[in-house]
Amino acid sequence: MDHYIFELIEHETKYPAKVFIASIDTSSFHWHYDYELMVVLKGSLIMKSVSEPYILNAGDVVLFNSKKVHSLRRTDQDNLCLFIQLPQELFIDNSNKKQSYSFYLNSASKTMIPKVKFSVFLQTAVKIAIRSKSKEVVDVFRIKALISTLVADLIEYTQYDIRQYPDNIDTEHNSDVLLQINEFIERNIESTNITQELCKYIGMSEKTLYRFLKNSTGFTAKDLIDSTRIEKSKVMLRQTNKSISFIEQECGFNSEMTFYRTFKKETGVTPNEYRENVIEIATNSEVQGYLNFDNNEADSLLKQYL
Amino acid sequence: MKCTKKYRLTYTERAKKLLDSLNLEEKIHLMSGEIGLKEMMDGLKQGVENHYNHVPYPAGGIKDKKLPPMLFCDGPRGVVCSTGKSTCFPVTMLRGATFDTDLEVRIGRAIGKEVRAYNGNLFAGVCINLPYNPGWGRSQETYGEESFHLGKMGSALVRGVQDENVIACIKHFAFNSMEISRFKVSVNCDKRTEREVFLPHFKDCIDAGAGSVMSSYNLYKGTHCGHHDYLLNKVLKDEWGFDGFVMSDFIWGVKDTVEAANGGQDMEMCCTEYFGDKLVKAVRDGLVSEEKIDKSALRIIRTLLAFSQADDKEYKDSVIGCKEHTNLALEAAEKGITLLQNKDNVLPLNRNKIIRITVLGKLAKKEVIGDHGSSQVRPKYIVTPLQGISNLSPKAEVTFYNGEDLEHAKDLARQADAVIFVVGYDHDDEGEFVSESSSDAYTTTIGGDRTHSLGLHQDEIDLIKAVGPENKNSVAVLIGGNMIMITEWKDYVSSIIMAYYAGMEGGTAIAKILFGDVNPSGKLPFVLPYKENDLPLVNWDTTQQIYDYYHGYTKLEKEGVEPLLPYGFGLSYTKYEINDATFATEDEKVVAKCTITNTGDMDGTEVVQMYVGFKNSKVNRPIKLLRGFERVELKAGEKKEVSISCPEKKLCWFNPENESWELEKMNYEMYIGTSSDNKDLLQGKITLG
Repeated sequence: MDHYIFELIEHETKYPAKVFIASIDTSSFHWHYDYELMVVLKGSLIMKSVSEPYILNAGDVVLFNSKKVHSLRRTDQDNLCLFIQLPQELFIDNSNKKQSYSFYLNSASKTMIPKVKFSVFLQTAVKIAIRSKSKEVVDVFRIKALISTLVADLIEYTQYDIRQYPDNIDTEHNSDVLLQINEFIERNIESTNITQELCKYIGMSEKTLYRFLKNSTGFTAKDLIDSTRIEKSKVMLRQTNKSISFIEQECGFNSEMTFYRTFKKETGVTPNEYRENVIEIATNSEVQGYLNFDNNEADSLLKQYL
Repeated sequence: MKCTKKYRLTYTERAKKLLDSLNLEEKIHLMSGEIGLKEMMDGLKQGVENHYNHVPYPAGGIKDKKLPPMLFCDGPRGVVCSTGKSTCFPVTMLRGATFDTDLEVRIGRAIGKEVRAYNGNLFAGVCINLPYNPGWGRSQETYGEESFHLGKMGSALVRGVQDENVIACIKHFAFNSMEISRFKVSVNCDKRTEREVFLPHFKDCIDAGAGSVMSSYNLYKGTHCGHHDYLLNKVLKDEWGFDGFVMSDFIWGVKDTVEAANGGQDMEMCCTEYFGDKLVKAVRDGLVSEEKIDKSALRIIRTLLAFSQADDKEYKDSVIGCKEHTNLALEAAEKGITLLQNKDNVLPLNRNKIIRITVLGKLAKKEVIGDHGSSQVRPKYIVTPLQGISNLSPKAEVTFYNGEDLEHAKDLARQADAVIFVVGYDHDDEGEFVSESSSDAYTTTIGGDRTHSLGLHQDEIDLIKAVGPENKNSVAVLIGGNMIMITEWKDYVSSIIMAYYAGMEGGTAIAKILFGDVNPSGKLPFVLPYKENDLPLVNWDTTQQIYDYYHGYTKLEKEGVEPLLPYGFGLSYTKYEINDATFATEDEKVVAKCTITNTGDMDGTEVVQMYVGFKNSKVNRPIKLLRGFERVELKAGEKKEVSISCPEKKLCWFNPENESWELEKMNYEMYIGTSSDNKDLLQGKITLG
């Protein structure tokens, strides 16, 4: 999985957050240590985290908690999103360093609604983004203040859980295991009984694997495998001329029917339709999944949200 | 205790000599507090370093006559002075639930030491007001609803505090058990109620040697208790032979110079408004005799001389909040927390099986040590329930959520091996009450009585009812100062523990009990009824209130109403059996004996209780009354003999016609067992007279 390594990041290191704007094609499930606030500035995209997928539209704001796995995918519209990544250190409660917050902030969800309007968070994020373009000293301090406001607003106005993990479980270790699982699935995607082979490789029973994945990602092994199959098939549809049936076999689907059904469910289109309508990715796009966008457009969009 | 009444009286001559050397103004100077009104008002905002009583408050004192001032420190859950130092013990009500007088003596000594280390010489933390209805906002500051128990526990605290040569001040005298109306309500009751229900515990503490009494704000039969000739002169000083001095409750405790001085008030606290010059003038105008002044001043001088000269020990600053005291606070919490229900032995939680815990309820994360009134203690640290649970289950994944969204709470409960609800009250809901006008106030919290309901907040009830059934291993931890109704939701959780306000180590104690590191042994010092209106009705905002003879468990028993949980009830993780009960009289005492066996697998402690019944009485008397108790430690399988005795005097009734105590010559029922419920008692009888 490459998506946890961000190359195309324009960020300042003077203040404790990474701020960037990106247009998403696909960002298969990944996680990071930072808390990530995302604002959809234009268009729409589909987000999947622990529970069911959400369609996010312009003006939606979502927070991805530290180490929470999530994936993003474009719809048929172009999109533009603002990301602010806040390191864990900002949220640590000194009285108990082992505990961490898990905030519920998702403007597309009807449950777990915060005590203030979502626009409060959106506005703070947009202000941060606008100032981040400046090189003035004063703006660095303004951004620091805005970041603190964002953290305080999260703690004061959103619903949250506080979680403490047991001493003997190394959450870093857990993340390594997760990576190993991901890599194994990718490498063995054409196999038709990946789950059993995976269990043998990773040394867990199916039940243990199920619990582990459910806890760390919210997904089942089948979800991950299907998702990886779809991603691989997309790449092949875009970049090769191979036949549908070849691709279907290469990606480990049981049959063409299964391929069609799963693909359409995941993307909304059939494999053929996808192939015909694919967007050309500029070859100098540094990170897979991110599209080029117009900086000026981004600037004027941001101002609109204020 | 060195400074007993007898010892203090040996100072009468010295005190008289000093008194004779004073002029009128100097004598009256002794009778007032020294804190400037503005200074106290300015300092009394929450969060300000100079909070209420941050240093001992002085009164009187004459340097060149070598008479020290009275140096006042408030309580009762610890010494109120300073910030980040004092030991914060569990509130008095939890300590009442321990039924452990030895422990209370030790707590008294620890507090006494800290008072000395602060250079104080008086501890005003022996609050023994009897809550007529458990909605009283300051219930946390008293031991429970039974006068006999109040007397025993209060006396123990007096002994402990005065062992360190600190004056113990008992309060608030008298009939002070309504908060919102405390400045304006006039309490009325009949003679028997006054003498048999609301005053005996004060006498017990006077007999134990208390050196000072604080009069209350409220009125009794139309007269302010700070001016009350009957209560202060006739009953307290004459009848009971009290040798110490009376001080008024602060600022609004004296409202009239002449009435207060003649009514037996010795010291106006905490600043001079009605005494001082006004009192000098009243004496000169012949409205108050100088003899009265001499009497008050003598009491003050004698008490202060006796205590201040009792030792010349130096108490180091390091004793304040020391490990020994914080351990004592933890010990008290462990002994008082009461197990009310434990279906299918869900508790204690097995650390090997319970590896995912969900904690729900905003109080879990709060520093629930009690109200923010004059009893607020500011310790160095406070362990919240969530911290306690997290600290004591390092192998578990602990998730906290405040419980607002019921669906989310249900999810978290389903995903866990156990769910713990922390619910109840905090300082915003109940506590010392501040008047609406902030210029009148000397504390900053809202508090007040529980005027709306004696049960949980509606959102907490909804939370328990929605989420409890989602997980069989469900526990409700109750936080609060007095009885909390559980009828509506008790069947939706397996286990319930009452944690009161458990002090600076409260979270640790709660967790130790949840996980079985400690076997709970607390007993309810109040009855828990099925319905709120099984208890006496009180109009919390009023100028007149009648206190009936019956309240609490005596009322339910007299009216044949079954309680949900009886007075004296408390479960444990083991089982006890009482056998071989015998009852006898000897040396003007009644004695109950029995054997008690720990028939379970876990070491534990049981509180054996003795009750006396009055069925054959010719007058209207309770069905039975608590007249003795003792904690008995038993290892698993161990058997011990218990003997509890009570002086016959304590079985008298007060005959209003000849104004005297009478012991009825009749058969009395005798009970010994583990709660006030007849099912938990072995019964017998004795004959007196």
